[in-house]
Amino acid sequence: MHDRFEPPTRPLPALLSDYPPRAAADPFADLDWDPYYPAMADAAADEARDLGLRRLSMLTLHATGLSVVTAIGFTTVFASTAHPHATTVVAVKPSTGPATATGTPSPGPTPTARKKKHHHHAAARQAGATTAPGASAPAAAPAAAPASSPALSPPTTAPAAAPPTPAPTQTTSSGSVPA
Amino acid sequence: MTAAPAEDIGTRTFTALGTFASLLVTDRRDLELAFGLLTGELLAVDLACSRFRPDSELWQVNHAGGHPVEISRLLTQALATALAAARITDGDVDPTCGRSLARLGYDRDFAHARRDATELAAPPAPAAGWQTVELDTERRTVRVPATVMLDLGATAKALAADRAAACISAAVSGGVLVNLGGDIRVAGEPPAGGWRVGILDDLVCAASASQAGPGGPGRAVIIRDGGLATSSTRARAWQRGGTRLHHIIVPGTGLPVDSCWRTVSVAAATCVDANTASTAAIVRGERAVRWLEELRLPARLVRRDGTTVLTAGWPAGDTEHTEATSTGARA
Repeated sequence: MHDRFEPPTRPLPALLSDYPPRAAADPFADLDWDPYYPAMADAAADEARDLGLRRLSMLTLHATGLSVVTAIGFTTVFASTAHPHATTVVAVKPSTGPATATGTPSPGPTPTARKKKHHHHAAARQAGATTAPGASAPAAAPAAAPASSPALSPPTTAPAAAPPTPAPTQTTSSGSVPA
Repeated sequence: MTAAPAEDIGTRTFTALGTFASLLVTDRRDLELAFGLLTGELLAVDLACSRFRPDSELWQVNHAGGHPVEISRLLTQALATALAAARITDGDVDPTCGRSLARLGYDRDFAHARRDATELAAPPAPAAGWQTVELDTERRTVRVPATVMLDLGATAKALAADRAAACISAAVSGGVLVNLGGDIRVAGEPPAGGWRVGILDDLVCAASASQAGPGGPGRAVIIRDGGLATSSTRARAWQRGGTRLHHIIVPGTGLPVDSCWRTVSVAAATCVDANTASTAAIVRGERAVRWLEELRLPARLVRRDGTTVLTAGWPAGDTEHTEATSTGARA
């Protein structure tokens, strides 16, 4: 390793030995640029650049084609799966109509405004809002908090007849008896 | 695990949520712990769901003038449960009946409301409809129109029984039964022979149950899991201007239902399900029998004349229960 610059001890070789010798009557002698500078090096660089550009354009073309195929694929998948779930429901006006003959309240005006297509995230977010039919059980319920099931569920074991013994009942179920 | 003998059952009865509450545990050593958990749960439910307490969350919602209100997880769950019950029953059990009940005189705690026998001042108010309630369970907000008053009496007590039983069962080793004014939920290992539950279908019977001796009216069944609830037009009834009223409302008219059934008892997977079904059955009348059969819900429906209809496996031989509650199930 050299600690400081040391000039070469022998003369440098001629770097441009292929240059044609300058004649005294050279018509380009007074130019401030060299018309004899060889063009070979630039020709090679141009060729390399063209080759790179061709490769780049091919890559771009392939990437574009792949993107189009992917987009079509996603569109197909969303159209077939996300559509039934990706609806939102808005609150409807109150039912003020009289009861039906059987005592069932009038359901009131039919809902609903629907957004046709949603992203899955939007659908999941909407599932948290229970404003109208289709509302699910609370998602934010505490762990030890059983909520009503989507439909009324029967017990695992049905009640059995109590044996006719003098044993007392342990508790009673009646209507909502006031205290 | 071997079932505990019935003699070891610990029992405590007290008043809560405007009715009586009974707690039974198969190991009496767990009674104090279970009682603490139950009273804590009842206090929380009362603070969240009472229509009459000015410091309750539901009061704030009912008096928000139509603006959205942020609510607790508990009230969110109670409202979602009430709306689910309304949806499942096609609106027969509707949480927007608060104004209907208030117009009928049930505008304060029942113990005080039933003492007023004067004429009603205003015409009945049909329920606004459960679809008007905008509940966001994710953000935990609710908005109801300014004219709507929510009442969670149909489901909150049953939900409290479900929550309390689950909480106690997780904390103790044995089985537990929680009874809130007839809304029953059992959890854990039942005692030997199961839980013996008397079914009362008459107000006089219910009101005098603590004094009922052997041979008193009623039936008894054995349950081992799930919930059991009874709804009756004879319980929680009052008079205004000479007219007899009760608390089960037809949402479309705002009037007490004139049902062919005086009492309906239903067993289901949870107390909320049982209570939803029993209340809806009263409102639905004759249609309820087929509905309960289709849902495979064991039920006992008592007509006005006392004849009964049983569905989906409710024991036909349910026996006369020989002693209603003198063992301590009721105060």
